[in-house]
Amino acid sequence: MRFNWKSFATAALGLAGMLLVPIDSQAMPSFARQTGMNCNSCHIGTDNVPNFTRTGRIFAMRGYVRPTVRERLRHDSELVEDLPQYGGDYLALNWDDFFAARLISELAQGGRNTSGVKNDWTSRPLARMAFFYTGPITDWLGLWTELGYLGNNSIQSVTAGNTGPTGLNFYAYDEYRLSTGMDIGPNSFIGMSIGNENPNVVTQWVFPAGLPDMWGNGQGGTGRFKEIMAISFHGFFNDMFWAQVAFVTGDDNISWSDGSNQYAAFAWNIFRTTRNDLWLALELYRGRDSSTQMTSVKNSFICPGACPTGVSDSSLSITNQRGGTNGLIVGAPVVEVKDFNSYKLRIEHSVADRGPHSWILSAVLHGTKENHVDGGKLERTILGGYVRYFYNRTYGFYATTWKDMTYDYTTPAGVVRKTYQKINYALTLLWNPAMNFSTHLVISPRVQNRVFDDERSKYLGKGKSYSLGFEYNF
Amino acid sequence: MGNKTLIATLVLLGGTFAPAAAVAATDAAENYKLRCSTCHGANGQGTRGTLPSLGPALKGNPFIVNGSPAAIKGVIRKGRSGQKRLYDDTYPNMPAFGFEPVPDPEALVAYLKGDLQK
Repeated sequence: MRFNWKSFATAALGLAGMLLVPIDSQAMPSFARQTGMNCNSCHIGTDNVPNFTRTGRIFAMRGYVRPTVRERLRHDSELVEDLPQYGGDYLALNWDDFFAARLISELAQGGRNTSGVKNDWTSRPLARMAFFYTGPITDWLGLWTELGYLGNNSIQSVTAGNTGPTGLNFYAYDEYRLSTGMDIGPNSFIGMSIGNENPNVVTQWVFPAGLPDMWGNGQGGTGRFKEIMAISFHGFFNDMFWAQVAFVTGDDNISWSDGSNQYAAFAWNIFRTTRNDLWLALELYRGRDSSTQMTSVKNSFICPGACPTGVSDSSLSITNQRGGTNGLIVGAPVVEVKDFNSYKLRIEHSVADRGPHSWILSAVLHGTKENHVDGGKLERTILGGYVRYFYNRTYGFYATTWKDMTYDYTTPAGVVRKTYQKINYALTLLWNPAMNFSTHLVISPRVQNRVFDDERSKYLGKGKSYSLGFEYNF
Repeated sequence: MGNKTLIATLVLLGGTFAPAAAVAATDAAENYKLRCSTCHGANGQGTRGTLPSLGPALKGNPFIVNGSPAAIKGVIRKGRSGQKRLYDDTYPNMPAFGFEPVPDPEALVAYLKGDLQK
């Protein structure tokens, strides 16, 4: 059969047209199903983690109980006005509405390691699969929970010769938060929550991901981090001021008795509309239960003793390195933290649908001081920025950058060792053909290690990485 | 069919339709309570004073009072989200309500323009 260029061109144009026209999805995750509101009410993009409108942030702060469609807590079509809202006759079960899932698939990823050697070109079709069961349990109690499967393998390599690690190629994690709130006047409420994540998830200031984060216990459960327990008391006053105190078992172990950590946050919501939302926040975190920034602490649930041949903690990503922002120093000594004090000063501006434009701008100044049992100490200060922009909520990008302003280790003998690392940055291009389906191209032009300044010869900074994939929430 | 039979049939049908209208009015109020009050308040006063604030007042709202029933029905059916939002406030996008949640939008519009404004 003779090749018909006209037919081919027509088909290609048609396909391109289908791909380029934004489609409104009917598959909506749990909150959307419960409330009827679409994702864009609470989020300005969800890939790779949620970014929030003012409604979404206050919805989380208030404990996921408002808005709710109360009859959905019961049987379909059963009105609740004349019936008890909760109690022994009350069945808070409607999991088909409450259930949601998230799939992240990396179609192609590659790059170079810090020495400049080209990495395999690989795929991770099931890079991440998470299941949610989320919403109001009663009129006053809300639940957030996520059970996750994090694919962490390179078995699906498309480059010949790469067999990947052993079958121990994934780990799971789970996180939850039970929250409640009570109105104490117009535009004011107080609340409480318990859960296994860092308390800044109550305000969602654990996001945007990519901003400096030396606390990092945003994930609970078994997996990368040890499980923590957090209890938070908080309130939002006069539609403007946030105050929070919380208590955490710690980053190093789950025992209250050998030291715990305390968290406090204060925020001022300066501009307070969906199209112009500006927050200024100060977070404080201190305590006596933490691992150090400098080194990884082995925390393997799969091979607590010797790992099988071909498997290491690092290949499984189950070492417990404090913080989401890499603080490892090549050749740093293993130390035990006696106590630490840290802070995070944040400014964040979000704009949803100002004409075709939506964006989030965020900047963080983040510092910590560790005192070690052996008499040494560590001081680190990071400055980071983040911008996410969407045009018509369809075409967008986000970019992150951060740099250690100071990162000094003082030995027990009093010798100050400064560290060396260049600025970090990454760019992600986004295309969202539906509000719950996002494609991404992540480009990290610089992948590097960090060394003591007096060992500059160990610095490796020729790495780069890219990843093309999609995220689907349903 | 004789005249008497026809008259009897019409009377019966009339009897059927008359209560139906009353039921529709009741249903509109119930429908409002079920689908609208969470965001717009039990009495149409809005939820500006609660957190998160979810929707503007409909009582005294110029669009409800002066807008055409067709336009109001259109907002109910299609929602008002993104760039189409009218209020530069903290409200989220208004969802679209299809046939299942709002089976009789005309009755609901009549309720919004009538009883809710009293």
